[in-house]
Amino acid sequence: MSEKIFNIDDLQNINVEGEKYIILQIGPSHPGSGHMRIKVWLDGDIIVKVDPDIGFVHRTSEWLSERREWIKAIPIVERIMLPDTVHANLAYVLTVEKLLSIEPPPRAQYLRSLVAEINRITSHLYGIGIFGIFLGSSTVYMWAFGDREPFIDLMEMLTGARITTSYIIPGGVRWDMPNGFKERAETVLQYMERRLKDYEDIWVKNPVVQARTINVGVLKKEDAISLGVVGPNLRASGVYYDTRKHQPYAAYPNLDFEIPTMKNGDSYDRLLIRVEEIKQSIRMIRQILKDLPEGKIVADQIYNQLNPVMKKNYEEKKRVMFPAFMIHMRPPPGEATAKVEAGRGEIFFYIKSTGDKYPYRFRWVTPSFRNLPFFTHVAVGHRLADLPTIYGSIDYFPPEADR
Amino acid sequence: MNIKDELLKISSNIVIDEKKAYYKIVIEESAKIFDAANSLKNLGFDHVVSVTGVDYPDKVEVIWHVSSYSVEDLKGINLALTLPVKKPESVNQNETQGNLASKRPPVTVPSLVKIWPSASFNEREAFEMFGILFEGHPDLRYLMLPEDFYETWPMRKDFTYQRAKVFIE
Repeated sequence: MSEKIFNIDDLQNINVEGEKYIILQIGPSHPGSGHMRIKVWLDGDIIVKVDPDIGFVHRTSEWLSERREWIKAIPIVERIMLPDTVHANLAYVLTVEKLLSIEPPPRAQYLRSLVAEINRITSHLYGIGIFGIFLGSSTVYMWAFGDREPFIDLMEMLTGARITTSYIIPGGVRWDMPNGFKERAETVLQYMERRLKDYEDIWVKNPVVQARTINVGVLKKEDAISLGVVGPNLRASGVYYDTRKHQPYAAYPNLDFEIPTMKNGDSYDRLLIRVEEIKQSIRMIRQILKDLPEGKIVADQIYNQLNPVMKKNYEEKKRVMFPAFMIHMRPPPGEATAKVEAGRGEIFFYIKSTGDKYPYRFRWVTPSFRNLPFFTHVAVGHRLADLPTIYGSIDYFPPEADR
Repeated sequence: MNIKDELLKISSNIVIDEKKAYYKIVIEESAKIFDAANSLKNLGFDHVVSVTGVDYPDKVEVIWHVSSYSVEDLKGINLALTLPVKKPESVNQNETQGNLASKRPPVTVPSLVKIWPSASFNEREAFEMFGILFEGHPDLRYLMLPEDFYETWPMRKDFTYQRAKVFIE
């Protein structure tokens, strides 16, 4: 394996003109988990330069959100991050709540964390499954996507929808926990713990997987920091950073959990860390189910605006219907930023309000977009056959990167 | 570390709201942005989260949101490094098509990729969406937009687009 090139100047100075290198176009029709093109310059089968060409599934979410009422941005951001919908929803709502100066009640905070952790497990299982099919194991692909199903059913039981839940609204959440949810959740968690042992036997400790992933796609700690990668990929390189700990939101200040970190920063560590995070999420869900406080699920500012029919609905069905305030919402002028730790990494929101019906500036950055340096910096120097390993291990999702 | 004092050394124009975790530092001249960015990096802000513009009628505000992975005190801070730039005069007022670059010339600011390599893809996105030319960026190409959107700067507020003229009856 040749020496890696991390200096961005050197990277640009490689002369890739002429006939010495083969240019290989991978994509744009679905090379992996979505539509993108990866342009690779090859010397033999050694990768000399990679140019990720993104934008094939660019859906102008910022442009659309700046021309709609505030509440209508929730479905838009959810549809960009399909495996991670709850986190996109939560990050946007946290930003709007900062502008509105609303604080949700404790029960709503716990329910937010609950649905977020369930969503994190589904997202990691999705990532593990995609990684499996990249390495040629359709067994793990089927297993992971099948085991994702019970958690999605849990989300449906709690929120009324499988994927695009739109569960979190400014001031609280839309549905209370239904009867029988705790027992159902405990069954699912025990099932997942059993299954994790199977995964370790057949996949994580499999010598074929280890041979293909250990020391492949190594990202050192200093480089991970300077390139600004996020989420499990950052922690696999040994950086102790998690938004849930360092910029806490929802119920995370009250929960007891650990941030797993690894040392080597190779593809195998990025696989291990996802398994470890699933274990931590299971631990957190148990705590939330045990400690869930009683009380309202929306802030008083929202509850007081419900009309008598809506209030009756709230008492009987434990469901929050949208008061007229939601569509006429005009947050006071100002700017707000918020960060949320999604399954794939950190979502960042920056919103500027001028007190108008629409946001003046709506900016968000998704984790996959910030993980792009893995293509330009980490894949260089490897063999072409290692590119799918690196792509799969970072849990990259093109529609999310394009926004 | 008192973050307020440290930021005041760099620029006198700062906004801090600790309750909402909102930090902003405004640099008035683009010549001073390199020094400011270097001082911030020495403080411990080691990566860029987002680069974007905010379009106003007379100016474009370029914002680098920076944060830290390595310094424990700064991990909870999202700092907005802001540089307002005046829009240049239009070259050709008589141009009828609204989207041509001659009528809405791009603004020019220094690129901070040399200081923060993590700004690279973000600056490319801000370039195509807002028409912000990052001087010194080693690879300032279009990232997401297709060819027929070149030099249209679609995220600016005066962007107009032509609806498709094909209707099915």
